[in-house]
Amino acid sequence: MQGLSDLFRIIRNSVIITIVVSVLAIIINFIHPNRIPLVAKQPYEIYVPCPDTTGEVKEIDTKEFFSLSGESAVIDARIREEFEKWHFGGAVNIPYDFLAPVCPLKIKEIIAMKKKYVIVYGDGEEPDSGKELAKEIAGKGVRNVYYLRGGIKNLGR
Amino acid sequence: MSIFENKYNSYISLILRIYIGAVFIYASVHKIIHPEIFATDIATYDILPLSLINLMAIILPYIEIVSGILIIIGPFQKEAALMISGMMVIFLIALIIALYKGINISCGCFASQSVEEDPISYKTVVRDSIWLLISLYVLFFDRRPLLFYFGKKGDEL
Repeated sequence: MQGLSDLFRIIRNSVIITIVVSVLAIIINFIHPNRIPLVAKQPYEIYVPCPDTTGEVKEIDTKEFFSLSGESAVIDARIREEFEKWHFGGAVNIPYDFLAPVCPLKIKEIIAMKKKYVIVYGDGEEPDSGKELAKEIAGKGVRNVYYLRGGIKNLGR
Repeated sequence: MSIFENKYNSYISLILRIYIGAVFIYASVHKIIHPEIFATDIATYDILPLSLINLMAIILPYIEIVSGILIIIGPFQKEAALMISGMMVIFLIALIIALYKGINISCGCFASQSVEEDPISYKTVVRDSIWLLISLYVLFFDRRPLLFYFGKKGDEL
Protein backbone atom coordinates (compact mmCIF):
# COMPACT_ATOMS: atom_id res chain seq x y z
CA MET A 1 0.00 0.00 0.00
CA GLN A 2 2.94 2.27 0.79
CA GLY A 3 4.30 1.67 -2.72
CA LEU A 4 0.92 2.41 -4.26
CA SER A 5 0.50 5.69 -2.37
CA ASP A 6 4.05 6.68 -3.40
CA LEU A 7 3.16 5.93 -7.02
CA PHE A 8 0.10 8.18 -6.77
CA ARG A 9 2.28 10.89 -5.22
CA ILE A 10 4.77 10.61 -8.07
CA ILE A 11 2.00 10.77 -10.68
CA ARG A 12 0.41 13.78 -8.93
CA ASN A 13 3.75 15.60 -8.71
CA SER A 14 4.52 14.80 -12.37
CA VAL A 15 1.21 16.30 -13.47
CA ILE A 16 1.85 19.42 -11.38
CA ILE A 17 5.41 19.82 -12.75
CA THR A 18 4.15 19.32 -16.31
CA ILE A 19 1.42 21.95 -15.90
CA VAL A 20 3.79 24.49 -14.28
CA VAL A 21 6.46 23.95 -16.96
CA SER A 22 3.86 24.20 -19.72
CA VAL A 23 2.58 27.54 -18.42
CA LEU A 24 6.16 28.83 -18.08
CA ALA A 25 6.97 27.63 -21.61
CA ILE A 26 4.01 29.56 -23.03
CA ILE A 27 5.05 32.69 -21.10
CA ILE A 28 8.69 32.37 -22.26
CA ASN A 29 7.46 31.92 -25.84
CA PHE A 30 5.92 35.42 -25.75
CA ILE A 31 9.35 36.99 -25.14
CA HIS A 32 11.30 34.48 -27.25
CA PRO A 33 13.10 36.05 -30.26
CA ASN A 34 11.92 33.12 -32.42
CA ARG A 35 8.45 32.97 -30.91
CA ILE A 36 5.70 31.17 -32.77
CA PRO A 37 1.92 31.64 -32.44
CA LEU A 38 0.19 29.22 -30.08
CA VAL A 39 -1.90 27.96 -32.99
CA ALA A 40 -0.49 27.77 -36.52
CA LYS A 41 -2.49 29.95 -38.90
CA GLN A 42 -1.76 27.92 -42.03
CA PRO A 43 -0.55 24.37 -42.67
CA TYR A 44 3.19 23.78 -42.65
CA GLU A 45 4.85 23.23 -45.99
CA ILE A 46 6.46 19.86 -45.62
CA TYR A 47 9.08 18.71 -48.06
CA VAL A 48 9.46 14.97 -47.99
CA PRO A 49 11.86 13.60 -50.61
CA CYS A 50 10.38 11.15 -53.08
CA PRO A 51 11.62 7.61 -52.51
CA ASP A 52 14.19 6.45 -55.05
CA THR A 53 12.31 4.24 -57.50
CA THR A 54 15.34 3.07 -59.44
CA GLY A 55 17.26 -0.11 -58.78
CA GLU A 56 20.68 -1.59 -59.46
CA VAL A 57 21.37 -2.69 -63.02
CA LYS A 58 24.38 -4.20 -64.79
CA GLU A 59 25.92 -2.93 -67.99
CA ILE A 60 26.66 -5.55 -70.66
CA ASP A 61 28.47 -5.38 -74.01
CA THR A 62 27.29 -6.65 -77.39
CA LYS A 63 28.93 -10.06 -76.96
CA GLU A 64 27.15 -10.65 -73.64
CA PHE A 65 23.93 -9.32 -75.17
CA PHE A 66 23.92 -11.99 -77.88
CA SER A 67 24.93 -14.78 -75.52
CA LEU A 68 22.17 -13.93 -73.01
CA SER A 69 19.41 -12.84 -75.38
CA GLY A 70 18.10 -16.39 -75.85
CA GLU A 71 17.09 -16.68 -72.20
CA SER A 72 16.16 -13.02 -71.71
CA ALA A 73 13.21 -10.73 -72.12
CA VAL A 74 14.64 -8.14 -74.51
CA ILE A 75 13.13 -4.67 -74.16
CA ASP A 76 13.50 -1.86 -76.68
CA ALA A 77 13.26 1.49 -74.87
CA ARG A 78 13.13 3.69 -77.99
CA ILE A 79 10.06 5.49 -79.34
CA ARG A 80 7.51 3.45 -81.31
CA GLU A 81 8.46 4.92 -84.70
CA GLU A 82 12.10 3.90 -84.24
CA PHE A 83 11.05 0.47 -82.99
CA GLU A 84 8.88 -0.10 -86.05
CA LYS A 85 11.75 0.80 -88.40
CA TRP A 86 13.93 -1.93 -86.91
CA HIS A 87 14.19 -3.84 -83.67
CA PHE A 88 16.04 -6.84 -82.35
CA GLY A 89 14.13 -10.06 -83.03
CA GLY A 90 11.67 -10.86 -80.23
CA ALA A 91 12.16 -7.50 -78.53
CA VAL A 92 9.21 -5.85 -76.82
CA ASN A 93 8.76 -2.11 -77.18
CA ILE A 94 8.37 -0.11 -73.95
CA PRO A 95 9.14 3.49 -74.97
CA TYR A 96 10.95 5.23 -72.14
CA ASP A 97 9.57 8.61 -71.12
CA PHE A 98 11.95 10.64 -68.96
CA LEU A 99 9.00 12.36 -67.27
CA ALA A 100 6.40 9.60 -66.86
CA PRO A 101 6.78 6.38 -64.88
CA VAL A 102 6.55 3.01 -66.60
CA CYS A 103 3.02 1.59 -66.68
CA PRO A 104 2.67 -1.17 -64.03
CA LEU A 105 0.98 -3.38 -66.66
CA LYS A 106 4.20 -3.33 -68.71
CA ILE A 107 6.15 -4.53 -65.66
CA LYS A 108 3.61 -7.35 -65.25
CA GLU A 109 4.11 -8.25 -68.91
CA ILE A 110 7.88 -8.50 -68.38
CA ILE A 111 7.42 -10.71 -65.31
CA ALA A 112 4.87 -12.87 -67.21
CA MET A 113 7.55 -13.67 -69.84
CA LYS A 114 9.24 -15.76 -67.10
CA LYS A 115 12.72 -15.24 -68.52
CA LYS A 116 15.93 -15.56 -66.55
CA TYR A 117 17.17 -12.07 -67.46
CA VAL A 118 15.78 -8.76 -68.66
CA ILE A 119 17.96 -6.90 -71.17
CA VAL A 120 17.08 -3.37 -72.14
CA TYR A 121 18.54 -1.42 -75.03
CA GLY A 122 17.79 2.19 -75.87
CA ASP A 123 18.96 4.93 -78.20
CA GLY A 124 22.49 4.89 -76.77
CA GLU A 125 22.42 8.65 -76.36
CA GLU A 126 23.43 10.50 -73.18
CA PRO A 127 21.39 9.89 -71.08
CA ASP A 128 20.63 6.49 -72.53
CA SER A 129 16.93 5.63 -72.54
CA GLY A 130 17.84 1.94 -72.24
CA LYS A 131 19.84 2.44 -69.06
CA GLU A 132 17.16 4.65 -67.51
CA LEU A 133 14.38 2.19 -68.33
CA ALA A 134 16.45 -0.70 -66.96
CA LYS A 135 16.94 1.18 -63.66
CA GLU A 136 13.23 1.87 -63.42
CA ILE A 137 12.30 -1.76 -64.12
CA ALA A 138 14.80 -2.91 -61.47
CA GLY A 139 13.33 -0.36 -59.07
CA LYS A 140 9.95 -2.08 -59.42
CA GLY A 141 11.45 -5.24 -57.95
CA VAL A 142 12.43 -7.09 -61.15
CA ARG A 143 15.78 -8.87 -60.73
CA ASN A 144 18.64 -9.59 -63.16
CA VAL A 145 18.06 -6.47 -65.22
CA TYR A 146 20.84 -5.56 -67.68
CA TYR A 147 21.22 -2.82 -70.25
CA LEU A 148 23.26 -2.79 -73.44
CA ARG A 149 26.14 -0.34 -73.40
CA GLY A 150 25.79 2.06 -76.35
CA GLY A 151 22.21 0.93 -77.02
CA ILE A 152 21.01 0.31 -80.56
CA LYS A 153 24.25 1.67 -82.02
CA ASN A 154 26.10 -1.39 -80.69
CA LEU A 155 23.65 -3.68 -82.46
CA GLY A 156 24.95 -2.40 -85.78
CA ARG A 157 22.16 0.14 -86.35
CA MET B 1 17.19 -9.43 -0.63
CA SER B 2 14.73 -8.58 -3.41
CA ILE B 3 15.80 -7.12 -6.72
CA PHE B 4 14.38 -3.75 -5.57
CA GLU B 5 16.69 -3.68 -2.55
CA ASN B 6 19.93 -4.47 -4.38
CA LYS B 7 22.53 -2.08 -2.92
CA TYR B 8 24.03 -1.50 -6.37
CA ASN B 9 20.73 -0.20 -7.79
CA SER B 10 21.44 3.35 -6.60
CA TYR B 11 24.85 3.40 -8.29
CA ILE B 12 23.61 1.86 -11.55
CA SER B 13 20.67 4.24 -11.42
CA LEU B 14 22.91 7.27 -10.88
CA ILE B 15 24.87 6.48 -14.06
CA LEU B 16 21.66 5.92 -16.00
CA ARG B 17 20.14 9.12 -14.59
CA ILE B 18 23.13 11.20 -15.70
CA TYR B 19 23.06 9.56 -19.13
CA ILE B 20 19.34 9.92 -19.83
CA GLY B 21 19.27 13.38 -18.27
CA ALA B 22 22.11 14.54 -20.51
CA VAL B 23 20.34 13.10 -23.56
CA PHE B 24 17.16 15.02 -22.76
CA ILE B 25 18.93 18.29 -21.95
CA TYR B 26 20.93 18.02 -25.19
CA ALA B 27 17.80 17.13 -27.17
CA SER B 28 15.90 20.13 -25.84
CA VAL B 29 18.42 22.92 -26.49
CA HIS B 30 18.00 23.24 -30.25
CA LYS B 31 14.22 22.90 -29.95
CA ILE B 32 14.09 25.70 -27.36
CA ILE B 33 16.21 28.01 -29.53
CA HIS B 34 14.32 27.21 -32.74
CA PRO B 35 10.70 26.31 -31.93
CA GLU B 36 9.69 27.15 -35.51
CA ILE B 37 11.96 24.38 -36.87
CA PHE B 38 10.75 21.91 -34.25
CA ALA B 39 7.15 22.75 -35.18
CA THR B 40 7.94 21.80 -38.78
CA ASP B 41 9.51 18.55 -37.58
CA ILE B 42 6.33 17.73 -35.63
CA ALA B 43 4.16 18.63 -38.64
CA THR B 44 6.19 16.28 -40.83
CA TYR B 45 5.02 13.31 -38.76
CA ASP B 46 1.48 14.12 -39.93
CA ILE B 47 -0.08 12.88 -36.69
CA LEU B 48 -1.16 15.94 -34.67
CA PRO B 49 -3.90 18.33 -35.86
CA LEU B 50 -2.62 21.72 -37.01
CA SER B 51 -4.12 23.43 -33.93
CA LEU B 52 -1.84 21.43 -31.56
CA ILE B 53 1.45 21.48 -33.48
CA ASN B 54 2.73 24.85 -32.25
CA LEU B 55 1.59 24.25 -28.68
CA MET B 56 3.49 20.97 -28.65
CA ALA B 57 6.57 22.65 -30.19
CA ILE B 58 6.52 25.33 -27.47
CA ILE B 59 5.87 23.12 -24.43
CA LEU B 60 7.67 19.83 -25.13
CA PRO B 61 11.29 21.14 -25.19
CA TYR B 62 10.84 22.80 -21.77
CA ILE B 63 9.39 19.59 -20.32
CA GLU B 64 12.41 17.77 -21.78
CA ILE B 65 14.97 20.12 -20.26
CA VAL B 66 13.26 20.28 -16.84
CA SER B 67 12.88 16.50 -16.62
CA GLY B 68 16.49 16.10 -17.80
CA ILE B 69 17.76 18.41 -15.06
CA LEU B 70 15.51 16.93 -12.35
CA ILE B 71 16.47 13.32 -13.11
CA ILE B 72 20.17 14.21 -12.75
CA ILE B 73 20.20 16.45 -9.71
CA GLY B 74 17.82 14.46 -7.55
CA PRO B 75 14.73 16.22 -6.28
CA PHE B 76 11.72 14.73 -8.03
CA GLN B 77 13.99 12.33 -9.94
CA LYS B 78 11.22 9.70 -9.98
CA GLU B 79 8.72 12.25 -11.24
CA ALA B 80 11.24 13.15 -13.94
CA ALA B 81 11.67 9.45 -14.77
CA LEU B 82 7.89 9.12 -15.11
CA MET B 83 7.73 12.21 -17.37
CA ILE B 84 10.57 10.88 -19.54
CA SER B 85 8.86 7.48 -19.74
CA GLY B 86 5.64 9.18 -20.85
CA MET B 87 7.49 11.20 -23.51
CA MET B 88 9.33 8.12 -24.75
CA VAL B 89 6.03 6.24 -25.12
CA ILE B 90 4.61 9.17 -27.15
CA PHE B 91 7.77 9.37 -29.31
CA LEU B 92 7.70 5.61 -29.92
CA ILE B 93 4.04 5.68 -30.97
CA ALA B 94 4.77 8.60 -33.36
CA LEU B 95 7.80 6.79 -34.81
CA ILE B 96 5.95 3.51 -35.33
CA ILE B 97 3.01 5.30 -37.01
CA ALA B 98 5.42 7.21 -39.32
CA LEU B 99 7.29 4.00 -40.19
CA TYR B 100 4.00 2.16 -40.79
CA LYS B 101 2.88 4.95 -43.13
CA GLY B 102 6.26 4.74 -44.89
CA ILE B 103 6.98 8.44 -44.39
CA ASN B 104 10.63 9.12 -45.24
CA ILE B 105 11.46 11.81 -42.66
CA SER B 106 14.13 12.96 -40.24
CA CYS B 107 13.73 11.85 -36.62
CA GLY B 108 13.67 15.44 -35.32
CA CYS B 109 14.90 14.05 -32.00
CA PHE B 110 17.89 16.39 -31.67
CA ALA B 111 19.09 19.36 -33.70
CA SER B 112 16.98 19.37 -36.84
CA GLN B 113 18.80 17.27 -39.40
CA SER B 114 18.05 16.27 -42.95
CA VAL B 115 16.48 12.95 -43.82
CA GLU B 116 19.83 11.75 -45.17
CA GLU B 117 21.62 12.55 -41.88
CA ASP B 118 19.06 11.26 -39.41
CA PRO B 119 16.32 9.18 -41.04
CA ILE B 120 13.80 7.35 -38.91
CA SER B 121 14.13 3.58 -38.98
CA TYR B 122 13.61 0.58 -36.76
CA LYS B 123 17.02 1.42 -35.24
CA THR B 124 15.45 4.64 -33.93
CA VAL B 125 12.65 2.56 -32.39
CA VAL B 126 15.21 0.30 -30.68
CA ARG B 127 17.19 3.32 -29.39
CA ASP B 128 14.05 4.96 -27.99
CA SER B 129 12.95 1.66 -26.44
CA ILE B 130 16.29 1.46 -24.60
CA TRP B 131 15.80 5.01 -23.30
CA LEU B 132 12.29 4.04 -22.17
CA LEU B 133 13.70 1.05 -20.28
CA ILE B 134 16.35 3.27 -18.63
CA SER B 135 13.73 5.74 -17.40
CA LEU B 136 11.53 2.88 -16.14
CA TYR B 137 14.56 1.43 -14.30
CA VAL B 138 15.08 4.76 -12.53
CA LEU B 139 11.36 4.96 -11.75
CA PHE B 140 11.07 1.50 -10.20
CA PHE B 141 14.57 0.52 -9.03
CA ASP B 142 16.11 3.74 -7.73
CA ARG B 143 15.15 3.02 -4.12
CA ARG B 144 17.62 5.23 -2.27
CA PRO B 145 18.66 7.86 -4.77
CA LEU B 146 22.14 9.31 -4.68
CA LEU B 147 22.89 13.01 -5.12
CA PHE B 148 20.10 15.15 -3.73
CA TYR B 149 17.04 13.43 -2.30
CA PHE B 150 14.32 15.50 -0.72
CA GLY B 151 11.99 12.70 0.30
CA LYS B 152 11.61 11.37 3.82
CA LYS B 153 13.22 8.09 4.83
CA GLY B 154 10.80 5.34 3.86
CA ASP B 155 9.26 7.46 1.11
CA GLU B 156 11.01 5.46 -1.57
CA LEU B 157 8.85 3.70 -4.10
